[in-house]
Amino acid sequence: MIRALLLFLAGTPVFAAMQEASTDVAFKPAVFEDLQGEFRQSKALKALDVEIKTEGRFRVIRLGSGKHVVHWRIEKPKPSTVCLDPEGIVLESATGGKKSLRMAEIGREVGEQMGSLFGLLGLEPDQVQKDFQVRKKGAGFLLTPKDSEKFFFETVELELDSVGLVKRMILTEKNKDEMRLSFVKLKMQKIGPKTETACAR
Amino acid sequence: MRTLNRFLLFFALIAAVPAFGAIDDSVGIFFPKSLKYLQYSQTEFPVFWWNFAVIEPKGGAPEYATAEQVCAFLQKHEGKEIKRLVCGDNLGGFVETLGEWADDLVLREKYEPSVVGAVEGALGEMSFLGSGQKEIFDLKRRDPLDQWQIYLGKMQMFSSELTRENGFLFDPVTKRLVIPVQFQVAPKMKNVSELMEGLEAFRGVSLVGAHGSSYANERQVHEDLEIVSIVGVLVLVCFIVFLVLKGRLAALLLFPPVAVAMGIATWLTEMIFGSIHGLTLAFGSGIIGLAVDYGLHGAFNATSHQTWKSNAIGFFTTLVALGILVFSGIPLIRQMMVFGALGLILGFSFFYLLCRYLPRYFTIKSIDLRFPAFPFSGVIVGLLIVLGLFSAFEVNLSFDLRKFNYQSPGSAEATNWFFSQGVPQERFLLLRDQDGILEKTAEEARWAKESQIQYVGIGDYLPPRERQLENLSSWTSEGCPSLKSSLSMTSKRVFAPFLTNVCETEHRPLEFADLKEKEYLNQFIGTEKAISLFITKTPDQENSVREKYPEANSLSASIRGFSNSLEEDLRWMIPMALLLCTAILFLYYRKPLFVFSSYIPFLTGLGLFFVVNYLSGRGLDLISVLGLLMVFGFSLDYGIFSTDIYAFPQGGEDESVVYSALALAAFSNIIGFFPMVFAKHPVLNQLGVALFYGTIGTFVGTMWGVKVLLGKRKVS
Repeated sequence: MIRALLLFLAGTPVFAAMQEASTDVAFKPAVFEDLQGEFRQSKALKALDVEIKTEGRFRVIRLGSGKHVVHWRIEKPKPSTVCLDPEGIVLESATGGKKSLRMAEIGREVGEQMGSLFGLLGLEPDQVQKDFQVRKKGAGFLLTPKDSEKFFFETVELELDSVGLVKRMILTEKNKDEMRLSFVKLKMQKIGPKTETACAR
Repeated sequence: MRTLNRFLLFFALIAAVPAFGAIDDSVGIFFPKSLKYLQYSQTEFPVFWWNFAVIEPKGGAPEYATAEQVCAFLQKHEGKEIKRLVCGDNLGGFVETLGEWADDLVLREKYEPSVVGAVEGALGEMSFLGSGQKEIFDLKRRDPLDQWQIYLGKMQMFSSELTRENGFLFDPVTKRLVIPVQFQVAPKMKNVSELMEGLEAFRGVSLVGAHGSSYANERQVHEDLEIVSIVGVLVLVCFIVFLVLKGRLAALLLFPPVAVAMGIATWLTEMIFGSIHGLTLAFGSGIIGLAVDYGLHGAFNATSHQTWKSNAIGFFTTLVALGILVFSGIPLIRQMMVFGALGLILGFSFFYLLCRYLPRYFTIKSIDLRFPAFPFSGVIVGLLIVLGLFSAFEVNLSFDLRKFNYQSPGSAEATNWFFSQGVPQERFLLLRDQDGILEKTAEEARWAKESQIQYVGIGDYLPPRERQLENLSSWTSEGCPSLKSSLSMTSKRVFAPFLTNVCETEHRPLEFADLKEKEYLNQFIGTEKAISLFITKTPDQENSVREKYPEANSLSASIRGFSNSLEEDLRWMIPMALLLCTAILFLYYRKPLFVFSSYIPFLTGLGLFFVVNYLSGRGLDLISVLGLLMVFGFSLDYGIFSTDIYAFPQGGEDESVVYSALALAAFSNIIGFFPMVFAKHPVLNQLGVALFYGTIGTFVGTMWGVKVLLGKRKVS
């Protein structure tokens, strides 16, 4: 579960900022240091015939040298927080429970995937080229992992806003479950002296 | 000769022993009463069946690639020899355990209104689970409150000093990786052979723990015994060829009486002890084999009136030495000595009767073997005697039980590292009866927490019956209705297994009989008892445990106590045996010179053994003492037989007849014990060194000591 969470969290902001990822598609990544906004997520579990919906706020802080901090604050249906940084992940529930796991505790396989996704998070073109095939699909993009074993999804569809940031995305998993995310009120800013550059543990 | 005898005796035993019953091969016989609990605990409770695969670093870096291969290999054995293991990203054999643990939350904890919010919050986490995590997805549906993480946290008790890196336990200092493995079969070679052979294919990987150790020890003993047996058979064949060439094939008749004596001794020993241990048969047969010396002496020197008197004194002195050791605290030594003494009495009696009433078959012409004195032979003997006496008083006795344990060099290093890391700990084992088990263990857990002492036991996992009833009631009367009315439809569907467990499954408080069925508890449950462990890190904590639970056994204190009591036993037993033997010899000879003379072969044997021991940097351990006891038995016989030539000279008797018989016996011993010197298992090796060098020294003392000391006296 933590593994999936990490993959998801590491991947999502990448798409939010991604503009171009292959030679045949226009791709101009937005340069940002600190990106924040609101999200709405829904995940359809076909086997159970249910749809899980959450919403809240997120923030991505780019630290340089390929390092990032991701805050994912679920506000509905029940508040909980997930924070991801190069050191590991911190999960905090509304009831006060807090779990902190170092990256190395999560597993080697996940660690390698994280490395690749952190590359994307930093909008490093080489890493994007290495991991995904990016094609135009309608008004958006279709990203297909080059190595399907490395990712828990088969494809990702992205729709960009006028600034070039992702406003909607659909992840299709290997069992055909879908995860839909939409982002609003996106705001880019510079890192300030008070910006938290690590998860609170 | 005794070695040869052993092989012939085996033929008799093969036929005889199955008729009497199975041979015991358990390790229980090593443990004195004070340590019985330890042996019982290790075999009874699966909590002790955890082993640890240690993966050595390569070039100063952790070997994750090897660790992953080992993990994949071990996973193939899950459900067979292995119950569960902790490696990689999968939950593996823990799934069912974690599920049970999650289900029993209703017995363990009271319902709190915050549960509703926590379950709804878990829905958010469920939204992140990908299709590749079905195992965890299903577990999370059953366990939205993440009880599984609490359980895994408790499992860290074995490796609190290690961190978890990339799916493996990791030591940041040595860069070693560790995979904990819990077996579901008892620690015996036959149970884990296939797995261990597969594991050996990985370089730099050792299995530390009861199963790894049992396999290594048993396999080494088998390999060593195989070599000893092959050489033994060769010696037997050569001996028969030798007898044929010398025209003394009739000497083979000396073996059947000993074989019969051993068969009867086996039966009697089994009658007395209920069973007979394999080690008693293996090593005790060497003691019974001493009887062949009486047969050899009697048959080769049948015409002398002194022969059976000498035999009788030799027999009594040997019996005294064995008789004293019957009081040993170690059951194995007691059984071995009873078996040896019975066999010796029977063997001696048979030979006496056969030589007396069937002289036609038991009179053999001597084989002439002469060993004339050489320059400085007396000096060498004198030096060995001085060294033997000096070392006997100066040597340090060491009864460290770890010396019984065979470990390959790599495995020894890994074991030492694993058990010495971090803060020194003392473990207290507390065995509990069924009555009031839950109340008692709950109190243990409460007290340990209050005293800040690490505790591992049922009390850490399950409250007493009354509390279970209260908790259960809170879930059925309050929890279930609240969850049903407050949870969203989505949560109800996603967490349906959790709701079914809370609202529909019929729970009842767990009793002792139920605990064994629980995967998360059964490692603490035996057939009739349960076990708790207190792990202390300071002397104050140790004292607290001793004060609160005086019945708890401290592991290292017990082992220390065992070693000390054994040492104390031997410190009076050995002098007492020597004193009694000396008294018998005084009554027999009535002259100190002859008494001293009869001890010469033993003293030279002792001297040579200590010289070799000193040069190889060894101490004197229990197995060496046992070997020396056997040396004492036959060397005193040799001393008496050769001293009697001069103490009680028979008109016209040729002394070479006695010396030839003794030389033949000594040579067969030397050849027979020689392969044991090269055994890798410490028990066989220590025994082999004591017997081999002890016999050579005995031979030197017999041939050139007694003769030099008393030879001139006869002439005069």
